[in-house]
Amino acid sequence: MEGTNQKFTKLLSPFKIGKMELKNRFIFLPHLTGYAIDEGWMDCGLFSERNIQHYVERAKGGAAAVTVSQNVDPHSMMSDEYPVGSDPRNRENFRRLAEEVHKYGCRCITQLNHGGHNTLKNPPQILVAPSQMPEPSCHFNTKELEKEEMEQIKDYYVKAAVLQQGVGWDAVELKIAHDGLLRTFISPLFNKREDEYGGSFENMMRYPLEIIEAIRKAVGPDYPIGIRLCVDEFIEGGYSMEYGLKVARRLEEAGVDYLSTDAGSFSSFYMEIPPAVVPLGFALYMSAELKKTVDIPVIAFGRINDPVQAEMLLSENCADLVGMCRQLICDPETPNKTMRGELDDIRHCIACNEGCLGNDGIDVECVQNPGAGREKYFGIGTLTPAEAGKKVLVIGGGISGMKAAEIAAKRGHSVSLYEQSDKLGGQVLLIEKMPYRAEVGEVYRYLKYQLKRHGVDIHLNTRVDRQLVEQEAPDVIIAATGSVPVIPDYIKMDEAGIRVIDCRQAMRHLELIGQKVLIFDDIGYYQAGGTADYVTALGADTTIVTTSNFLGCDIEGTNNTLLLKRLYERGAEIIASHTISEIKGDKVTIRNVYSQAERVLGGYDTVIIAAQSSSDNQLYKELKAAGKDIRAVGDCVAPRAIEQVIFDAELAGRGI
Amino acid sequence: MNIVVCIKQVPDTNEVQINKETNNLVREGVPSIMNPFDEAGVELSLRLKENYGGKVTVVSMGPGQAEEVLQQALDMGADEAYLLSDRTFAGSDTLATGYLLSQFIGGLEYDLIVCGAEAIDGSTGQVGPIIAENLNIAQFTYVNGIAREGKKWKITRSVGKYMEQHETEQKILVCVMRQSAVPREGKSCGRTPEKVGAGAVEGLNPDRVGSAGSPTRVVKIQMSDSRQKSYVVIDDTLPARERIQMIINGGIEQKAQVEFMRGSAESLAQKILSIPEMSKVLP
Amino acid sequence: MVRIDEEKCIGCGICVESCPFGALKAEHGTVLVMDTCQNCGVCADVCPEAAILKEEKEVDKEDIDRYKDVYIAAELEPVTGRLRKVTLELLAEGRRIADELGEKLRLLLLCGSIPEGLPEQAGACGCDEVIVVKDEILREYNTDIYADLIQKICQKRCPSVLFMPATETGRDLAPRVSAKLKTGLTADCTGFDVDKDRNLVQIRPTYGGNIMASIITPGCRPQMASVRPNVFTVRECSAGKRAQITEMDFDLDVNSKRTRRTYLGENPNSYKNVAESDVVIVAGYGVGSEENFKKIERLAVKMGAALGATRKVVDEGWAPFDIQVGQTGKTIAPDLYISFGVSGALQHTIGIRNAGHVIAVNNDPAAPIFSMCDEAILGECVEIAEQMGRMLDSQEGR
Repeated sequence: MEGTNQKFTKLLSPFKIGKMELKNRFIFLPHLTGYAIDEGWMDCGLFSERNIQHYVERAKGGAAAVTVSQNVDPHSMMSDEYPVGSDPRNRENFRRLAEEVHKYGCRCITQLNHGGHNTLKNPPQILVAPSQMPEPSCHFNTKELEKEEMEQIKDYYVKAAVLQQGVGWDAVELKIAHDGLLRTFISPLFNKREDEYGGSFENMMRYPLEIIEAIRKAVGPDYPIGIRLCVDEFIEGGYSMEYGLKVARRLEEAGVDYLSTDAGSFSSFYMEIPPAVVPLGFALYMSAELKKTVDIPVIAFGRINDPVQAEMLLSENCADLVGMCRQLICDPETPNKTMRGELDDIRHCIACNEGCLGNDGIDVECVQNPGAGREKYFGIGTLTPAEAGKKVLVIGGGISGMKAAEIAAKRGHSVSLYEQSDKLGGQVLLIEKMPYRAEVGEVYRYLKYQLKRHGVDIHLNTRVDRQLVEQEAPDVIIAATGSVPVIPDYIKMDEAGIRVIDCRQAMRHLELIGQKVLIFDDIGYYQAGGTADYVTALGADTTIVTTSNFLGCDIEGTNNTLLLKRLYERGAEIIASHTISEIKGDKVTIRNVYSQAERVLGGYDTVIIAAQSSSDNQLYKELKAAGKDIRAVGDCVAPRAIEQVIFDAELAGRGI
Repeated sequence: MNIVVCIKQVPDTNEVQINKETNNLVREGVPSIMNPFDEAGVELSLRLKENYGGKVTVVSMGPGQAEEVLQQALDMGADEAYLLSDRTFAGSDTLATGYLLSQFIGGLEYDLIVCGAEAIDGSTGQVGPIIAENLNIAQFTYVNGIAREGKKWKITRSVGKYMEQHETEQKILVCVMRQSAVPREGKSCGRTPEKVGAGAVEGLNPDRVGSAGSPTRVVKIQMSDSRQKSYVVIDDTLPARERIQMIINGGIEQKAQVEFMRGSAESLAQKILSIPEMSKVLP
Repeated sequence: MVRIDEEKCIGCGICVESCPFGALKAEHGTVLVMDTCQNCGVCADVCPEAAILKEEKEVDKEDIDRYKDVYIAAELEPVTGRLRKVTLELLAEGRRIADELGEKLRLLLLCGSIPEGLPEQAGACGCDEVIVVKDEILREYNTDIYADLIQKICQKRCPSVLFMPATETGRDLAPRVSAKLKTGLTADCTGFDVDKDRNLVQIRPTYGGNIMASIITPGCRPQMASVRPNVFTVRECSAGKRAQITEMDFDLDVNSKRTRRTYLGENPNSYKNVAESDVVIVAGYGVGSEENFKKIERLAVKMGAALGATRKVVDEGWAPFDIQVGQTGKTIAPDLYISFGVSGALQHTIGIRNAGHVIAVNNDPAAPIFSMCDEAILGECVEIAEQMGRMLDSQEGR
């Protein structure tokens, strides 16, 4: 896209919310980071240095505003690493954050939330809600809030807003969305109260409106108050957009200064933080409708990861501002790169959710960006040029090899990369063939572009051996030779009468996949899950046997929920907690891993095995033994996933 | 060699907004630009001047603000610029506009008249041919190249899937395509456009300009909702599960899996060409 | 331009709000009419004090009533000489308007030779008469000769309405004719109506498609309008009817041609506007290489279809960003969408959503596009495209 002389006249133009000036339309949306400090009862949710650096990084990257997600009530936190906005111990760090981001012309907005009936892990003492009802995310039921408790919560909101206004923050946003208390109050599904806070629309709105009014009184008429509003709960029996727009109108009447579009709830959490299965820009129609309904500014959200997309949505009047969360976690410099017209240099979020959600909300990281959550060490400006430029030879054009080459080249080394096949990309070339995983290809597209940009010499169709290394005589070698799939020897196969292959073979050669397929999963991750997705899409009659307690136990939750839905809808049979002991003829003997009871399944024409791969590190060992300066990265160290191999490579590249 | 270029100042149609209450055009704050087709025309003319010598004169009919685009043309390198502006010109349709321009241009020396193929606001593409008819000279539309060889004009037209080349020794008017030339950036020059009122156009018949000279009349306008949006709108009345599925499908109805057509490349090609929808569109 | 009667104006500003073109400005207790006024009269209708007057022109009713019937200008294929489908489409709409007016429908044909079966074809669509001027000189289109003939025919026959196709030829010819006849022409109409004064109401999109304008030509005849192909549908309302043929003779002088055509050939590099085209061929990553992409491109040119490319194809550098379709490319809404090597994995980025009929060609049976298409072709996309090209060549006799 280098050739576009697109001018981004809207995306890069300033905007105002009330008196708050925004230098462009990029807004860093609020999200749980898990970076706050937890020192136990009543000493958790402490806003940390790591929190500060995370937001300063996005300000450095050019965003017009960062929104910092916080809890107001120390008794009701979604996690102990969620900053408590009302805690005076956080005042100094809050002040510093505002001061730092202001240096970049960036605004600092607080988002206030109350855990309500949701939790991520380590549920708090009590989960609360407008009416008692069980909570999908844990095994506790909830308490129906009493009015005194509601008053106290209101006080916490005000306290938090005032605290941050006092240290220079620019606006306050209330969350009536996702998890959290306030959405459950306005939701007819969750709010069954019989007092003045439930029953009619006006009653259900009363509590949030009281909080808004109390905050308004405390912060004064000029301080912008925004609402992150769930427009559609996406729950059966929950509210949809028609109701969401009604709420929006009421909030506008109440003097709210802007609305930030949102959707989904914990019961439909794959709509809250949608994985790649959900298309780019899926929610633009919601902010477009909001724009038609209210006159106050609207922020768009929902798988927006590209400035061309952002400019289009602004020119079609979908919103006034563009909200990006994961995109700026993945590439905080998206706004700056847009300003410089370096569109191909932007690393797009692939919505895999593995780094940001896959850690169970403990710590937000990013599979593509080692700097996410580690801004101090790997953030903007931390990549220093090498003292002396060296000649670096990278063996392997998979993800880790390309990443190491990228970093080394950016630091000024002279890098050449050798790949034995005719394509760069390694295992990702197979991943992107899996249903709904085409976007993962961005990982190698971005790296390929970087290699081209930084003058890395690429040799395809070239297998590296000792002789080539001696010829080239590099100063440093990086071995990124990957791994090979293994068919475990505990499966007795000498009398197998059908085809038995590993999943890489299956993904490479679809003609090997028959009509009645058994997939054996001994890993619990995408190897089996994605292959099963592909095989069932082909229309094969499929049985999946997994040693885990459920298929895809290590696949991040939003993805796994939707994957299981697809597999079950296509009629796949899933047998958990079993291993395979024998394949004989067209029959497969499976064994319960707990009871050891065996059972025979039959009639298959193909068995696909997903078991741990083993590192392909012969060359590495050979060259090391020959005294070369060689480091290994990626699967050839130990087979893992994209996040780990990229991080390996980053470290290696920085270490030269 | 004298070249006259007709240009128009137009609102940037991408920026045109409709007031959501009144369904009317909001012209305030909409940036105005030189019609991109005319910009290409100016560029082509300047290149001809660079190659063969001569003078480039730019003409526009419009309100006072249109001086801006005439200035832009001068800054690109045009020699003279005229703004035909008068209260009596207001409300002109294409016939009246073409008449006025041809009356004025008729009083200039010219070998070639260049117009943009169409203006992005009206998109009629009519004014050029109307000027040519009034001046009784030949016209070429859909032009993407023009060169001079001795006393001949050589014109290239791009007409759908065909390309044509023509030549003539006569004076002509060409209507050029937007992609025919990338316009250069302007540099501040000392020249400014000259304003020309109704009285200064020799032999102008007042009954043929403005609303008086316009046979067509707009009687109604309304917002068009046929404009394709790039995002998907999901039917809010569907149950939650179906809303989610529609979103995941990208708004596309999943059709029941159709049976595959298999066979040799030749047989499949034949099958495709025989599909009824194909014959509707094959010319 | 409208005129404000300042005596009657109370400065309420209702007219300012109502102006579709933003041409009125409230000033000093009255209203200023700016140059952008189109004299549409919406303000005059809403003014509570009747203080606004449209600029009215005298219409000579008697003279206008002399003009009768709906005429369609036929267009033939340049190479084969066959009647272009758009002519039949215009006949269908022309018949409807003629019926509203209670008048006749006539076809105007300038040609080297009359295409076989034309009287039956036109008659079946409701045409009453075909007026033909037949001469070898007319085999090749020439603006001056054609425009002159149509002017002469109109002066003789006095049509009330003249529809012309908004093809490249039509857009070259129609304005020339309108200038000769000093009448109004409305381009690219998408709909028609007849108002209470028996004027033809011509409806067209403007301002980049954002606004639909309704236009009339009350004082001039013929009322000319052009219409793009595929706006109206062909309708055989009188199967078996045969239109009457009337040949007209004119003195045509080949030396009156002011210009010479020196070359006619296939257009090598025309990227038709993919967003506007009714037929779009999209090439996906599955075509495999830039060379193969060019093969798909050749098929598109042969078919007169626009060519689109998916994001991956553009990222690889095989195609320019201009023709990228989908999320961050262009939104398309073709009647016919044919994909070669498109997997549909990014289901929302391939531009299928608004397509009428979808034909998908791919060699991967698991490709998601196969659950979104009307025809699923499992095979080697590039080979199939090449075969299609060869077959089209032999059909056209080239």
